[in-house]
Amino acid sequence: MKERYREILQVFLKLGFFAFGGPAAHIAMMEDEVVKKRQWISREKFVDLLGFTNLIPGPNSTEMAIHLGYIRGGKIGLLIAGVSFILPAMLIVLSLAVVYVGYGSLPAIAGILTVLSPSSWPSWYWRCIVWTKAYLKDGKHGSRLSPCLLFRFSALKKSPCCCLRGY
Amino acid sequence: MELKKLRSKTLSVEPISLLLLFLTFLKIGSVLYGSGYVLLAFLESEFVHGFGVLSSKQLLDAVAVGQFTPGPVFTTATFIGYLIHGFWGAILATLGIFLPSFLLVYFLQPVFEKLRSSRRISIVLDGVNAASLALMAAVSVRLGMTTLIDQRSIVIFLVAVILLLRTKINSTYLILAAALIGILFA
Repeated sequence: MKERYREILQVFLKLGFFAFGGPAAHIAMMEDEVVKKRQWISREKFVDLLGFTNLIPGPNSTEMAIHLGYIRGGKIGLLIAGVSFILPAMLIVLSLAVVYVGYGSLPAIAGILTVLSPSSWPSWYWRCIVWTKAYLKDGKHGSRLSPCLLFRFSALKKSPCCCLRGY
Repeated sequence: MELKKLRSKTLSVEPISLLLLFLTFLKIGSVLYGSGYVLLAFLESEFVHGFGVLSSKQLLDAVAVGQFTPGPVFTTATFIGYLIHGFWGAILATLGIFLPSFLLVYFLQPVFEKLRSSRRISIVLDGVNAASLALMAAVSVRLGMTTLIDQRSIVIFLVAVILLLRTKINSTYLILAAALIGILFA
């Protein structure tokens, strides 16, 4: 179990420091770590968790982290995953806040950080394709809602799943 | 001095207590569905229009900080907490906004597993999964349209797509490499 805790800490601390680019990118990176690299859970189960986090309020990527920690390491795993994912970001934001209050504006490093985002998006586009494939392939249930169709709906903001807007 | 001036400006209306700050973020953490945009709307109605303890500019800066720093966007709460109440404000605001997530996952996970084992509800959850993917795809497209505006970002984007499709590169390294490029060509 100790080994597991260390692994959870390692994964989510790394993500906490390097997960730039918003929830979609975080989730893509988590999939990289826990499905592809470490095989904690299957891709289908991962998509399942994603659906679950969309059903409950709160930040989805953080909830994914917490949930993955829970599955892997029980209650303590849950705490380790959540805290190690949030803490690095919190400390960075806190130090920026100190500078902000001191100088009344954001420091120059903010400009550098904004450049990070474009790289994370393709990762996400790709992941969407792979997951949709994994999702459609597993043909246990008869009819399926086409993600593309829903995508159109949500673009029109008429979909009943608008209330589930996770991002 | 600066600090005092800024604080007093921030708190010109009426300071809110640490407890109220914590509870407000606890409320936001328990009811908020959605992205930074939704968060922005929520925070605006609470802190700018409601308590009047933040200016619109401060709020926009806070949300920007939450977005460009690594990790969850909700760390915006840390920033706002600090602006309103210093160090302890930051700690309590962060605790407040994230605490519901821990509790929700902890208490609802068994329920969710049970629902999954029911065949009929399972089909509903499949629909939810499909919708979740669609939402993320929609957001990717929308963000892509605002991010991929100049040659550099488009080139970074395309190279990253090719690497992701053709190699087994870990996305963390990809993002760090792009960060380096960003710094070098800034």
